[in-house]
Amino acid sequence: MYATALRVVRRHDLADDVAQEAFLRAWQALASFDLARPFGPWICRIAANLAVNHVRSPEAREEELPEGHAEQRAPGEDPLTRVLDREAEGLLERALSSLPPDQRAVLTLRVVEEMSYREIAEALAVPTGTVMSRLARARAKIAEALRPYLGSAGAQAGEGA
Amino acid sequence: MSVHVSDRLSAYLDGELSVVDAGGVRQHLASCDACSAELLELAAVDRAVRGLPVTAPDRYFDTFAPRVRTRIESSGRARGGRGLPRWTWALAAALLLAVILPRIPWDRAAPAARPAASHPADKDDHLETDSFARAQPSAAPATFPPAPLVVGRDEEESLRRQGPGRLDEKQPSSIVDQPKAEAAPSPGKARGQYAEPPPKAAALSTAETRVAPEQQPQAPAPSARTPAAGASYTGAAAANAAPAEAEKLSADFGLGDEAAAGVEGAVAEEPRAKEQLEKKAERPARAQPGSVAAGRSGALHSLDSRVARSLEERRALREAWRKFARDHPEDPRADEARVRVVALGAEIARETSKSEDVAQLRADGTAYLARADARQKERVKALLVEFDR
Repeated sequence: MYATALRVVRRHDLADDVAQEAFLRAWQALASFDLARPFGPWICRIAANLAVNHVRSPEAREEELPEGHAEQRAPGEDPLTRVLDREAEGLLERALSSLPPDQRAVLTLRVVEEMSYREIAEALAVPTGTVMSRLARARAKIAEALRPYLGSAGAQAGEGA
Repeated sequence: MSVHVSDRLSAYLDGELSVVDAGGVRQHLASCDACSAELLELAAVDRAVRGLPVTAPDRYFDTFAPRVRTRIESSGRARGGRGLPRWTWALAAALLLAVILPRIPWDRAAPAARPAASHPADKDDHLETDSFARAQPSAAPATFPPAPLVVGRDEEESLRRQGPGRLDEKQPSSIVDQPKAEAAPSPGKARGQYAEPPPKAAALSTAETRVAPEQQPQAPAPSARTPAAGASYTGAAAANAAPAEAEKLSADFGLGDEAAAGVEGAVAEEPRAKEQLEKKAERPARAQPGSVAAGRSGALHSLDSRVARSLEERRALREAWRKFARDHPEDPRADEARVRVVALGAEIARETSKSEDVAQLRADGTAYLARADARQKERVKALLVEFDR
């Protein structure tokens, strides 16, 4: 849930706020919650909605994640590989940050949360066709940014485009 | 060659096209290298996005539950309402635990149990759990996966041949390879309770279920990501790690021991484990030697027919039901016994209005609601709600 929020809002303090708020909302709705239903997806959708609403709000200011938040490297890893890893990761981070929040939210819900288009459409209150088009655009932009790292597939796709 | 299908590849990848559309795309892919490459590229994008680590500050989740509690309490005060009854804290704790626990890598105490990821496909294992890896200096370091972005011709061939929406499931070595727990629900649908391993990231479930060396079977090197093996670790790992987390959360939420025990039950709620539990519950009943089974049935019948006319008799009857549930936890009728404990507790608490009786009722109720095998949660919830009125 925190991870979903962070992927959408791109800042720890905002993601933390969203995660806590999601629990608050879930808490307030707990009396009417059907215990037979799975709790995790329900609260994750609340979090996703809150995250999207936040990034849509006029006062939302998105900032780059602080440097050095990325993970540690495996000791003994090939230095060249490490450099390439960092470059690719940086590219991906930047590409994700540059996506419109709505596209980023759809991409996160589909790729990370593995929600169906219909579920995403319901969660974000948009038509399924909108989900489809946003997702396609988001993927295309990320692919464009990562193309140098996509190997033969990227090269061929680039030539074919 | 037919017209390129770039505009439909994203939906094709997700299995969201109609049968007719998907058939058209598949046919085109069979003869178009450019579109096939683009499909692979999109799959690689997903893989990269999924594999991008998400990092929380050190000890972030240690303070999450109390902070949520503070927020909820502040919210209740701000609204000036009476708020929800206290027993719901226990339920919330159980649910919170069910959401958070599956995301904690159980191997953090045993970093050497797993070699550093070297195979591209291994890298997905680090999804989200990397935050914990960072928070734990001893945890296995994580790596980012540019390597899996590279697509081999073999993978391309097999991907091209596949139908939409099956990429993740059918091709262990493909670019979109995700380790799947064998019994996991279908991806993207019904992610299930978090107490169940969320299908959301089969990679996650594998990562989460790494086990300490002493628990780990002699899995072939270099990784423990064999789907079947990963699935088999889940229950044991969670069961072993859950008590400490349950204890902490129960403390955060101010629960008693019984409620905490119930929370542990909720944590252990995992489909396969649940199934096994149910089977286990049924098996002894069938396999019981006649005398023992008959004795148990007799005891149950005796309890069932007992009428408690006074407060003391109600107390005694409640304890008798409790004893039956405790002595025969595997008996399918233990569930009813636990409910009777709560029902009698409500009667007693209503009659005496004593704080210790109310506390006992709440402890029994929350412990029941948090049980993975509880079959009458609605009934118990109604009992508690009724009492709080």
